[in-house]
Amino acid sequence: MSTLLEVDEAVVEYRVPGRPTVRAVDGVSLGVARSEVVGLVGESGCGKSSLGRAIVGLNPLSSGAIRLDGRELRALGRRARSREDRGVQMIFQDPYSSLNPRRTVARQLADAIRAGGRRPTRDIVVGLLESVGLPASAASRFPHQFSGGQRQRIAIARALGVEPKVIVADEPVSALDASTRAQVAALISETATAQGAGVLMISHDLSGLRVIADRIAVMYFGRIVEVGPTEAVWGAPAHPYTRTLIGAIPQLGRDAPLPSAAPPRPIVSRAADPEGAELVDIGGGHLVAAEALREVEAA
Amino acid sequence: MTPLLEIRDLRIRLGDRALVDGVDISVNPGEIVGLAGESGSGKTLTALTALGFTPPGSAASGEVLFEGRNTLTLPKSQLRALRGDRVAMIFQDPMTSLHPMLTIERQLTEHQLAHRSLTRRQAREHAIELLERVRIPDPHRAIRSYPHRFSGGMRQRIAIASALACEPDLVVADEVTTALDVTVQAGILRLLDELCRDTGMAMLFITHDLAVMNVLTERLYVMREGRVVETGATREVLAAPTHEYTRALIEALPQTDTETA
Repeated sequence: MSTLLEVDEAVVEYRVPGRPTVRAVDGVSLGVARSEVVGLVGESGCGKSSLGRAIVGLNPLSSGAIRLDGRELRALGRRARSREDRGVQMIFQDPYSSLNPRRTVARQLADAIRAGGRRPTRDIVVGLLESVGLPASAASRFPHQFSGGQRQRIAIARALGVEPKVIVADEPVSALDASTRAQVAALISETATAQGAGVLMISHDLSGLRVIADRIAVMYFGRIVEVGPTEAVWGAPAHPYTRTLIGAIPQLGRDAPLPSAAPPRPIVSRAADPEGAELVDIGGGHLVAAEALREVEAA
Repeated sequence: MTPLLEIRDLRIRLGDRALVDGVDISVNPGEIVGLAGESGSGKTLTALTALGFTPPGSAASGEVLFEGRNTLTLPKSQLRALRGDRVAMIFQDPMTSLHPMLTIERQLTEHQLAHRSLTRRQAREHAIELLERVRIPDPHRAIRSYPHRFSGGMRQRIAIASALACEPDLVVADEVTTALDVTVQAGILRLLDELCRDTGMAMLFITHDLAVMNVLTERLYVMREGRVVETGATREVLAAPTHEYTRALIEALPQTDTETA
């Protein structure tokens, strides 16, 4: 599998005058291959959205690089993004604020099709709507005439309209009702991978990601502490934080106990322990930060 | 056993729309009861109306007996005496109940002073005990600070402390862990469970999250479009749902192992 999107030692920092600089993303490396769905999981403040925004150019990198097909992507500036840079598209959590309330669905999809370098036709617009399970009649309506789940489908159609190579979806289903979450998440991964696009799905919900992701990356304190095939990470979590995260998820079933309430232990920054932050392959592409292996040795 | 709260044939209408359409719910003393359903199912409205908060323009009929008194017909003064004392409420966003510009002390002593004949000093001491009970570190310092100094999980603990101030017989908790991180949620669920067991307080726990429902509540009601469609012992209902809507809700969940990995 060739890597399509490559995040290479990415660092995102927020500088506030008079306050210490916050390093939200602390040297993250991560790849997404063609037709691959990678789930990036973490809790609030771990830096997952900062990383997602950096990939689409909304946050400038302090150091490191984001590459698409080997070509470095630049952060958004005053000028329009180059055609090549539009190969990365984003789906946001709230489709109400990411869609323009004053333009019809057809016009917003036409913009996306044009941004991808094609001439918009009614056939392409209807095809996009059908691919996300909406009728052709949706084209002439406005975003407020749809439910939350339908709106998110429109946002997906718009992202697909650009014919992107990679879609970054930041919590795309957390604002939706439980009964539509699984459907919409599956729709994003299926429609994107059918076109050969890679997907980076960012979420706080590990059990939701588990269903659709080929690989899972676990982020904590700005670092990726564990990454690997979904079943390996879920079935044999190697980092203590991943274990805490999985242990805290309430389960169905007659014998499910109250989840364990031990708060996760903090980890130190890459600068404080560069070796501990290095990812080590423990077999089959399952990588874990070396700090976790040290504890096993000590125990 | 006489139920602590008994809702009989509750109907709430707004104009010609039936928002809640003949709901029967009971909560026994000390029991943790769940109320599940999706947004718009009427679960929050049912709970709010039971506490005497009816939305403007709506009309409620039926009976809501709390400790034998019908809250639908109770005079405002008696309702006020009940709320914050015998029954308390916790919301999804702790900032709904915490005032951003008042110290934690003011917020934790306010209803004690309103409902009990205590001195300010006694109320303050009790507030510190409450903060210890919900495991806020350094309560003597915490009591002098303001809500913005605390994280989301800590704020929710303070909101819980505030609900507990008068040792209510019933606490209504509406999606109280929905906005929290999963590791923080786990701590709050354990805390609520422990508080109910230790104090004998009953809880009506509202959530759309059936896995949370499963691990916390003893009995549950599943609501859809203003009606209760299924009820029973929580684990039995969720393991073998008889109503198609409950089944659909469970099937929509990501399939996870029954035992923790």
